[in-house]
Amino acid sequence: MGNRGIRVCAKVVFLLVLGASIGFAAPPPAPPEIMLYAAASLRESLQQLAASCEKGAGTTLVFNFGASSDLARQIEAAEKADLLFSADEALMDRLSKAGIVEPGTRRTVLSNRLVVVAPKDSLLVVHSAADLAAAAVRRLSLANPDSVPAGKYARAWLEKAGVWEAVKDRVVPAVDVRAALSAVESGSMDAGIVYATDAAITQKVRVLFQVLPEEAPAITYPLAVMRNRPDKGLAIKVEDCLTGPGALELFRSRGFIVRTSAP
Amino acid sequence: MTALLISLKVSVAATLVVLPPGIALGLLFARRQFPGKSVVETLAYLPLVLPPTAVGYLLLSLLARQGPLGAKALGIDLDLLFTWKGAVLASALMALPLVARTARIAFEGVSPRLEGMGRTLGMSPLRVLWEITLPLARRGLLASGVLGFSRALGEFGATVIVAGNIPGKTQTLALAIFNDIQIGQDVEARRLVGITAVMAFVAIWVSEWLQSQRRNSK
Repeated sequence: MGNRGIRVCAKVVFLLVLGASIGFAAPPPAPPEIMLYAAASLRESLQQLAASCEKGAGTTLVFNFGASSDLARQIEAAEKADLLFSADEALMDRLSKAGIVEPGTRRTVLSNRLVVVAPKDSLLVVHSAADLAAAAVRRLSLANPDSVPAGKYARAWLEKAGVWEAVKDRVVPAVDVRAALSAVESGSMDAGIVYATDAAITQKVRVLFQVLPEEAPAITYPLAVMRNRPDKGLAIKVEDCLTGPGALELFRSRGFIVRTSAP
Repeated sequence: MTALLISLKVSVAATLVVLPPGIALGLLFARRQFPGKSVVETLAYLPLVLPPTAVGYLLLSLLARQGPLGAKALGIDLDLLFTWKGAVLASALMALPLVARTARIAFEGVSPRLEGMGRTLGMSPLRVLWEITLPLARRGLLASGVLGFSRALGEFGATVIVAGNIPGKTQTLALAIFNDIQIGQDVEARRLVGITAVMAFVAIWVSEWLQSQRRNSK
């Protein structure tokens, strides 16, 4: 055991401690953070709105994007969200019943539509839900149809059209709607069902079919302030910003249907 | 780059958290015989074999608001779930078997006769541990620390359940890679894979080198 060995050990320890101190180093004084848990389909829109809402409300926004169903479960396990922007009213109802949502702050802000997409070079033609039962669709990409809102909406549409039984064995479930889109983009799926706003963010897929709103379940996005949190005043300011005229205009430009409902 | 810093922070903290119990268990397994030892050993090594998601789910159930270690039961909020501290806990638990095993091997490499001599010379058990056992086992113990660090660095399954995947808060390299693949950002995913590969290479290389030094020194 030479001294050389000990010196190298000391260096390793030093590097570990250095790494730790970089990680622990206090950031410059920042405004209080507001945790915004949001449906995966809202990612680009909210990131684009972040700067102006942070400035307007005097806060730093921390995003947690994911399937609304995962976000709801995370909030049920630990109330770490100040705001939840969900893609599913039923999930928000569940949190309301559990007493996690601040009463009077819930608003239905947006609506969306489903589309059938395929990889850009696909030759598939879809005129109706029934066409998804064709042999050419061997793998159909959906957000998990048992839990994730986008998948549940897609499943409800297919059930209503009477083709769910025929296609359900071809469904490849994804963790959220963006993962379902990404699987289609990669070319490994024959088709997928995502929101119109998801299809609009990529050049790698082709929209084969737009689901008529009257044939699909109502798709709405509720936003609410969470109850047991320290900075509710700030959270309400952020909510106001996200439902203000500028934000609604941006949502509209990204293909969302604006459904303003006052709290 | 934030993901790299979070990964370093979480892995270093997890290593510091896991080393004391890991080394204590290693010493216990190497030196003591007691009834039920094999059961305790099996329990300590369990995270090595259990799917990380199973460990994550157990932790989540324990720490959830309504769980036995949750805010309701304890009266205080440990503030572990969906924070970086939760990631530390998950990674530390997943690293425990590797640390305990490596520490055990390190202690088994120390001749009990040397410890016996120390005691014959009138040293207290604590002094024997401090001045004979630990110094002789130090390379192996360092290696166990490096291995624990590497395991924590690669931890995914338990972390994503206990700490979520929150960019800038709990999103470590492993989680960031998963996220980038999910949303189809291949370039970014490849970059992060490169970074983790380099870090893993260095960690394994150091650990192997430490262990080979231990063998040569005998």
